[in-house]
Amino acid sequence: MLVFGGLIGTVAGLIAPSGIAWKGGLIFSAALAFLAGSSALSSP
Amino acid sequence: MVGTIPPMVHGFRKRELAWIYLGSCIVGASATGTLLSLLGGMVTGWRGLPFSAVALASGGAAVLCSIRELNLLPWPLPQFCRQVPSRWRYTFPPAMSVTLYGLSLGVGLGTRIPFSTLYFPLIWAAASGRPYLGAWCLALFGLGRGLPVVWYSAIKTDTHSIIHGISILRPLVQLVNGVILAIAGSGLLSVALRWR
Repeated sequence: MLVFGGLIGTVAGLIAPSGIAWKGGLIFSAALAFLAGSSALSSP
Repeated sequence: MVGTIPPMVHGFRKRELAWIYLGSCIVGASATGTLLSLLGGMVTGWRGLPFSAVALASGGAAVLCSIRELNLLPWPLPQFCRQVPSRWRYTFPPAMSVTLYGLSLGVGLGTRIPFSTLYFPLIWAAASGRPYLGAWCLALFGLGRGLPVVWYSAIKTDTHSIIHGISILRPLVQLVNGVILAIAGSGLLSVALRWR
């Protein structure tokens, strides 16, 4: 799973246009923030 | 958390409590994002860090966190191991206790961090150096934390079934977090190396 995710991420990183740097990163981190928040309910 | 919040909201059968919880989560999370980005702004002179440095730091952290979430190397997370006190359910009126739970869980840093995915937006909020971006970014953490509770409050099943249903999803949730962190980490590392 780590290799699979790593391959997808590396390909995406290599083809990503340079103009989306900060904006893309912040949108992605906000999406990960939502994932972190919604995952937390499953913790004991 | 799974044993405290759904009974608190679902047990009372009051959807407004769930909405109060959601709002409190968003306020608490936005406060964390604002504070972190203020700190980052003060350190970087309100310009934020260069993108390549942020990509390298957050990408490396995401890969390390994915290794942890995929159970390849379960290294300990830097975190407080406290939980929200369950006695708040009995010592405060329902609206007050739900607000306190929402604020303290929304802040995210004062209690146990169940998945290391949270570190990624924390790094970005601090590195941006702009309070409105930090607040916006972490507000989605609060939204994610509160929205499932709003949804569960509308379900017409008993509380124990909900708790059981959430608990058995944990391995899948952990796997999803691990894979997405691996994608994010490797993507950012390749971007950082490409644009350095």
